[in-house]
Amino acid sequence: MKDTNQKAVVDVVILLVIMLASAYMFAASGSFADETKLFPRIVSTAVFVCCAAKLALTARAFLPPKDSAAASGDEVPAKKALLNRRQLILLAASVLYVALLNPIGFLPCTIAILLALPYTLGYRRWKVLIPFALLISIAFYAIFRYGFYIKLPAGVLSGLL
Amino acid sequence: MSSLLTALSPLNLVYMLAGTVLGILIGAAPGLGPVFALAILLPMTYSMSATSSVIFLSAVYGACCYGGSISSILLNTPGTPGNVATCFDGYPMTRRGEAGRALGISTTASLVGGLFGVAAFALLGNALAQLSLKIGAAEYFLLAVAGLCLVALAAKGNALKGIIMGGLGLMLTFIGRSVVTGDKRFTFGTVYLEDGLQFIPIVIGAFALAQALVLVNEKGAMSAADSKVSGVMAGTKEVFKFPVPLVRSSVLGTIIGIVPGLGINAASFITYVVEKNAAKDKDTFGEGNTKGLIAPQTAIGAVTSSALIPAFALGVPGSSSAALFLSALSIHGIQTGYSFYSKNGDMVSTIIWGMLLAQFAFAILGLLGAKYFAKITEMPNSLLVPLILMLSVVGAYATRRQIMDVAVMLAAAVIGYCLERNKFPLSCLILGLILGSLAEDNYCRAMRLSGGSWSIFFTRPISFALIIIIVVCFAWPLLKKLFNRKQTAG
Repeated sequence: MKDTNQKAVVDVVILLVIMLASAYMFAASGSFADETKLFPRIVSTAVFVCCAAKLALTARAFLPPKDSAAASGDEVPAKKALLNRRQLILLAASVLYVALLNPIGFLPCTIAILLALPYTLGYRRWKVLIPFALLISIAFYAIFRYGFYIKLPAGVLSGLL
Repeated sequence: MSSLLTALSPLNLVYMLAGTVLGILIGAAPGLGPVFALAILLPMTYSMSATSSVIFLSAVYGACCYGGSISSILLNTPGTPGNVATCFDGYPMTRRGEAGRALGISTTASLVGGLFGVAAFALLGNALAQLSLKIGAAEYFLLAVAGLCLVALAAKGNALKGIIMGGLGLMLTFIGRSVVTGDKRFTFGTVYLEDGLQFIPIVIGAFALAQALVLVNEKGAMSAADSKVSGVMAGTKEVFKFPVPLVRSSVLGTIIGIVPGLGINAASFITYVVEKNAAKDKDTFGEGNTKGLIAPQTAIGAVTSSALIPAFALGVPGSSSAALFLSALSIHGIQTGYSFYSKNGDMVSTIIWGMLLAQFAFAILGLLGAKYFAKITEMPNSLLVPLILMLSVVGAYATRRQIMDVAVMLAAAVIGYCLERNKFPLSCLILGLILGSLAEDNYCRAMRLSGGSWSIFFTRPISFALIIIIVVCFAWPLLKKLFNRKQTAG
């Protein structure tokens, strides 16, 4: 029952966010020209109604179960937090990687992330890790730069590359 | 016969092989896709003959769409947007240690679909092109709605969530300039949003990086190190145990391919859903069902050839990829259109043979390379996760070289992970994104044509048939329940 409630709470939050977005879209489209607002209004209304219906159905999860079978269903295993420590590390690393990609450049950033992230996640075989980080980063940069003519950010190495 | 010999000339074979290798490589790299591959390789055709250039580009196109399935199956990272549906059942097979089998199935299914598409191109090209002209704005709109409804209804016990996700996908396409009037909508004063939210970063984030968020919690590797990658040939043979899904997906893929504007993305989704609805074991779809992998790959193979039918027979490119083929022909002074098949008999035959051989080229290379591709699943997750992160970032960045696309990809990863964990079907969101502009544009055009009357959707035979299909799709589960209840009560 606790698991079902936990899942239902997240469901309710997601549905409320989508309802808010659709209500905003409906209201904000009021100032558009007729043809510009027509379809957004139809779709946002439909989404709002469907979310309301789903909310009403989800609310049943908060009612006490009539029998033990009511507690089962398509449950998600209980987890205390939405994201755990390892996932937060990955996300933090991703944000840092993206933030530094332009100023520092693809090569230094990728080499750093391919060294630091595996190490943080528990991989300690440096003899594998160092060539892995160097080869992958350089190979990708070269393939995109010279094969596909896509210049990945050069950053601090812009004079050299 | 002489056209077959011309297609088999050493020079054409070299072009075909080169196109296949380049296509597989570009296809397997997330974010690039067939349009990019064709655009970047088009200049290479300047020095080729018209026939060779079409053979080369066909090899690139087919191999690229096939190559996208490799990263979908092995890393849950769709190489091309069309390969999203391949992830649904391909990746679960890899998780079960059946990467070789999955690659065998996808390669063979792509080959069968491709051969079917080429046959349709050769035998029915003109007739199918004429048929595509019967599809107007009302039909396009209803096709998009039918696609969304089918995908939503196929979501396991979550049809309402599916419809909400499809609607959310449509809502995301409203951001940016209106496809109808060009007015800015929901841009919050930013220049970035004027072009709308880009499809590729969202797909990469919601599938690839969201999967990295799952993998990061798992120690070890997906497959044991030094485990023998087997099952490639078994997967190849297994495909032929499912003749009905093969034929159904080939036919559907061909039909969707000839309809301008729908293309590979819609074809792979729609065939997947049709196959799921038709299957008795639909509960196992999404968990590594063979038919769930056969359907999208066969359709993708079929679309790669059938999408060229309206381009060659009518001179109407239905997609960017087809437009690039036309560019290659126009560089050589060849006019496409009604007389293309009749005026260029020998050349058309050679092109058809070349397209046919190109299908075998990627299939042979794919089957030979499968066990080497599958080795990536032996990589420890602590190395694989950073690699997926890097591939996702490069994929999101490569198309437009905008760092904001990468930020969108990151946001899509977190949102996609949360939605997936709570069983909100992401496939519906993605299909909404694919079909959003098509649906809005054609809805407005249909309303303009009918002077604002909805009668246009009911008075045209194809659109009326589509309405019936949509109604039946919604009514069928309820009718089935009622029927079952009556049976048990009786």
